[in-house]
Amino acid sequence: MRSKLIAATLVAACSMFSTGAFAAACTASAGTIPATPSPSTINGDLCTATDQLVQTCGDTTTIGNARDAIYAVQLGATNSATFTVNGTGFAPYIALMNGPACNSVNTCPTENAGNAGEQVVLDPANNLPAGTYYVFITEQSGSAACGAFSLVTAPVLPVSLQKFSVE
Amino acid sequence: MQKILFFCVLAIAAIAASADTTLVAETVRLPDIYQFERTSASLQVTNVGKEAVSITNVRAMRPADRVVAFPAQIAAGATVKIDVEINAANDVGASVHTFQFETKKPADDLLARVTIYVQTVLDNGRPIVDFGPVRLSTADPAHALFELKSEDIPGLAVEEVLETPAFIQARIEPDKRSVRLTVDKVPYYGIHRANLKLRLNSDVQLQAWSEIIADVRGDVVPSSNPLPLDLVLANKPNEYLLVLRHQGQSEFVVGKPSFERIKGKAKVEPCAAKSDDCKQVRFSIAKDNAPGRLSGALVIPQGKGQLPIKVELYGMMLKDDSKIVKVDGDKLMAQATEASGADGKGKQPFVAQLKGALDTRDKTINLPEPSGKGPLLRWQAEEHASVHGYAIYRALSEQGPYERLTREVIAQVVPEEGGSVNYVWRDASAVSGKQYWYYIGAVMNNGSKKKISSPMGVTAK
Repeated sequence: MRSKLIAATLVAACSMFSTGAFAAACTASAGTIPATPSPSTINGDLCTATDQLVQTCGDTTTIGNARDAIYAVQLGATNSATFTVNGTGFAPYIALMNGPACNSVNTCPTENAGNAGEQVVLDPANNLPAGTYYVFITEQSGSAACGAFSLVTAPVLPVSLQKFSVE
Repeated sequence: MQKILFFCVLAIAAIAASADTTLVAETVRLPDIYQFERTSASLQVTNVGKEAVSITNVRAMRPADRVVAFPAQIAAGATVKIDVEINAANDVGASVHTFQFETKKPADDLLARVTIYVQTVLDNGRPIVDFGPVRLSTADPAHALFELKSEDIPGLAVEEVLETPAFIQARIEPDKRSVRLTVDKVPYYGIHRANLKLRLNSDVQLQAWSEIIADVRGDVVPSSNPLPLDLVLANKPNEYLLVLRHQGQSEFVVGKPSFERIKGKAKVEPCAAKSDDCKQVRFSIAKDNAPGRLSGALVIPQGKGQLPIKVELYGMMLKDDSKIVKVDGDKLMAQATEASGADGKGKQPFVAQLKGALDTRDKTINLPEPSGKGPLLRWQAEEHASVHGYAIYRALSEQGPYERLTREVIAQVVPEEGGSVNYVWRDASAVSGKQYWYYIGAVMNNGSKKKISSPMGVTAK
């Protein structure tokens, strides 16, 4: 609670100085977790997780010695979805690993990272085949920084325009 | 004001100290680039500790990236900039490039990330040609065709094959848009995969890579290849069975299996049915494999003059599974779809609905109209979570061929909740009196592209 209070105060104070050298440092602990999460939201806390992995898909996807929250997501049917992490107290790194997809000679399908307080979206290729996927959430720097987070799953909806004209 | 700034630094240092962090780095976000383009970034690293930190090495985790130079030491409280070079290679969509800072005290080690959006001129940025199962035959070798597909550049062509997978022979077809592939000699039976690297005739994107996959089989075929190991837990026994069967129902000989890139034990035994055309390999994965992704192979030698059989193994190695949260993805997706609603606006709680009803402000953002001459395109869109931005395509007839006019993505502007954005774009390259057809494309976060409007025609004034 105390650290959250410090973080909130810090964010408030830092928001007054959002330029220059302080801009980088001052984003250290922002972030919000929805008070009323949707049914597709999973709430977690990186502080209760342990360091389980040093990489996700190979040497190029090092995640260091930070704590790792791991979700095994079982998909029985083909789906298109995005996974969004909102965290407090840490800079999120999120990765999605699926066995067969990672056997590719190319980079593992999906990872993303952001600064503290930023919402980080993982947008995998369309039409994920049925199977078990591992969603990893960790601190991007590899440090022990941690905090509460929410993981929101959302379907990829068709993109449409409201209007289009040429004149 | 200085007191507040001082407080700010102290508070960050306090939080950093509580998390045992000495070096901190912001994630660097770079402007969009195309596949195989290079760019540079400056990593900003701050020592929030009380003592200087000695840097022993800074490693680019991707082989095509490079660290220009790094300081030997970062003084307490100091911030340094480390220049790095980024090679997009065959990334596509949002991607992350990681740099590892190694220090004298491993606890001070740091990972710094660069995120970048990589565009592609291809319809699919990571094309794959999968031969499927093929028999090795000199009389009738397996063939497949790689086809270059680009709605962005109708005249895109292959100029040269830069690199061919060792198990493939490649020949550019006369149309210059396809490459004929033939499975060649292989050193083992099993799955072969490598990139075919092509030089393109475009100055927007210089290369295109396609992953070529072939499951080359002999007379003896494994029951599964690749073989998923799933979750491998170090604290629990794990054992797997792989059945080998002779396709001609003949007797066969195999030697002692070995592993590549994975530690384990394996032995060959007769199948349960004890038929001569069947053998099985019983194997286990050693508990001292490094936690994380397991990716290796089980190699089974065959009798004299026969190629060995290689079976890909992959899985996830963990100390135990006590911390893994198992999620029913189908249920989660159903809930997410319901929460989003068919229109993506979702079911809002009563308070939010009331707030929305009372808020009668016009939340439409009108982007400025570009000056000059030429057809003016207007489109209105709400925020879409999976859209990176928009692209304009033009043709001289409704049926096409269309060409992408905007090499850079027209960034998605995010309106207030419930609001929408009026986008405007002018085709200054249109010739007066000529008829053109246009459509809008969405450039998605994952690198894919979608046609999101019907074509509209206009005669340029």
